[in-house]
This record gives sequence, C-alpha cells and structure tokens, in this order.
Amino acid sequence: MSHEVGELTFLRELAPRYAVPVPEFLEWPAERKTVQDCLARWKSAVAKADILAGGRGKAGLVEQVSAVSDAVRALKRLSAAEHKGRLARTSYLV
Amino acid sequence: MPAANEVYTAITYDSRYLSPILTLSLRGGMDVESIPDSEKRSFPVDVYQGLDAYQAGELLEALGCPRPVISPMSRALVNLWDMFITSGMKMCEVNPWRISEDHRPVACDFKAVFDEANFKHRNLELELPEYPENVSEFQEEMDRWNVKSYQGQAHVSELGGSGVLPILFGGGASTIIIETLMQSGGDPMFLSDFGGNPPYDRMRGTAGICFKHKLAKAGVLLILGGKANNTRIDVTFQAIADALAEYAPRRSTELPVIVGRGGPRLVPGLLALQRCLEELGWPYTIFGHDTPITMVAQYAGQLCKYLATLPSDRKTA
Repeated sequence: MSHEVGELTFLRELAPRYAVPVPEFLEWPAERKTVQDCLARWKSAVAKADILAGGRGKAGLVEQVSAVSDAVRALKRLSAAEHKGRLARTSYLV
Repeated sequence: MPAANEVYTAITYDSRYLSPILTLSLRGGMDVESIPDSEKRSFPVDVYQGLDAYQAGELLEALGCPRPVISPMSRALVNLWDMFITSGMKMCEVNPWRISEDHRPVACDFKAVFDEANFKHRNLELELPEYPENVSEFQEEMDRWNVKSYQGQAHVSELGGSGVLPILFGGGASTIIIETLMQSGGDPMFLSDFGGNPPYDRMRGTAGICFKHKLAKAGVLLILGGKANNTRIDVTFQAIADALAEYAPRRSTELPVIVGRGGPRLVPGLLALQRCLEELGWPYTIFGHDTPITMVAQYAGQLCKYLATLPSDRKTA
C-alpha cells in the first residue's frame, strides 16, 4: 500500500517541517483581496491544479497569471480540473 | 520566480544497490527519461550514515553546478534527504528546484509516495488530504459484476488511455503487460486482471462489459496472458469471441487483434477466436506461450502507436 503526496501537501505540511525552501503559496478558495495582495507582492504567479497526476503542465493545468481577474478565473477552472482520469481536489497559487 | 538555473532531484529505492539513490541533474524542468545519461548523476545513499552536504556538493560539482550555488543547494538536499528517510517515503521528486539570481534554491514542484507499511509514516501524524474519486461507468459496472460471483476475478482499473484495449489474465502478468504497453506507446485504456478459471457465463459477461464501454474507441485489442495452469482456454476464448461478435457492430472500422496465451485446451480456444475474427474480417496475430508476454505487449504497443499516426482512411486498409 502506498499514499501519493502532491505539491500542495508538501508546501503546507512537509516543507516547513523539514526546512526545505519553497515559494510562498495561496490555497484556493481565497478572498479576491488576498489574491490581489499576493500578486502585488509576487509580481506574477503560477496557478496550479492540486491533482495527483503527472504532466500537469502539458495538460494545461499550470497557468501563468499576473492580473487578479485572470488568477481567480484560473484558480476556479483548475480546482475542477480532470486529468488522466483523476480529479483535482483544489487549486493554488505559487 | 525568475531562475538562473533549474535542478532535477529524485530519491528512490534502487534494487541494484539495495538502498535509496539520489539522482541529480542540472537539466531540471524536463522528464527524467528525456535527460541524457551524461547530464545526470545517481548516488546510492547509506541509510545509516545518511546524506551529508559534502557528498551532495561533490555530486553537484561533478555536474558542473556553478560554485556559488553548491553550498545552498547541498544544504537543501540534506534537508530533502532527512524528509525522505524520516517520513518513510518510497520516492520523492523535486523537479525543478529553481535557483534564484542570489543563488537561493526553491523547490518548485514536488511529488512523493509514502510507504504505508513503514511505521515512520504513521509517526508523522500527518493529515493527508482525500482526493475526489473519479469512477467511470465502466469501472462501476465492472466492480458490481466482480462482486456478484466468486468464480473468476474481474478486476479493472481505469488508466485513461485511448489506445490498446487489454483483456489480460493473471495479476503479475497484467502489471508487466501494462507497463510494457505504456513504455512502447500503447496507451492502454485500463488495467485488467481476469482469469481464475472463469466459467463461460462469467467470462462472457466480463468481456461484454469491456467491449460495451471500450470497443468503439480502441486502437488495438490485446488478449494476453501467460501459460495458465487451470484456466480452460477454450471456455474463456469462446466467451470472448461471442462477446466480440455481439459488440463488433458498434465499430465503424476494423480493429487489429493481438492474441497471446498458453494453457489447457489452447488450440480449440484459439480456433474459436480465429473463427470469430475471420467472420468479422478483422486483422489478427496469434502468439503461443513460447513467445514472452513482454514481446507480445511491445508488439501491440508499437502497432497501436503506429496506427495512431495514420490518417483515418488508411487505418481501415
């Protein structure tokens, strides 16, 4: 038996525990204002689907965003994504 | 984040060394299979001594890593190793680490697999998130069918592919066949494990469910298993042939069929299947039990990959 772990769990649970350097992140759902603050601080960001399937980039489940409206739209879309027969649990911004 | 360099790292268990190995490359962001051997290094890590920054630094230096990056990257790798070994992981991959212009490494994508049998994983007291199940109609119908009877198993697991429709026999054989199909470009639709000497009605139902849901879109039909000890091949193949005859009209084009099997009453079984395929006018290739299943799977995978490149009017020729 095994249990897969995706990037979001790593960012939230494992990286801080083991002092592995990671970027700041924001988990969806979040207030529009919070997304705006993050983008203002980071300049641009990448929205990703939290899904246990490889090849997210090639499948269009990783999206570069810089405007708030684009980020929110991408996060909504990616949180309901399906890839290789698997469903996303949520989405996040890094 | 803007990056001056990208690094690939993975820690996995390797049977060649009977220990974990750390793999490193400065060609981060790519699939590890696409990275040339000359541009990646693997290093077996002693589980008792662990990885130290000196070893990590030597590896990075051997790859030609810029000198100011070596020290911060080595420290990050030691922390990654600590996470791997103290949390009971089977595999963890960071691809890529992005190295900022001030030489700071940041892990920008990650995947890992915990070994649930390892007590260290439980000691972490992590609450791992549940991901939504995505069960297809096919999977649901087969699961219901599987529990209806103890005679002959009917296990399938969706893989999301659109190439080979695999009717496979034997748990171990199925896994090897599916892996071979994936490596050879066969893009299998699902993993299946049938067999266990199913009676005619059971096999007929199992094959019927597969064909009802998958036959119309399949690129190649593969009926494959090792040399059976107790499964009667004539019974199972007659059932598959009858199910195929029922669902074949759902296809607008012919479907290449690859068969490989051995076991009791093999010849009558192959003849039953051959009669059906001749009547349908579909092309077929039959292998006996003297041909390794991996070779048959590779043949099916490569054929499927080739057919996918043809324009649709050539596929029927």
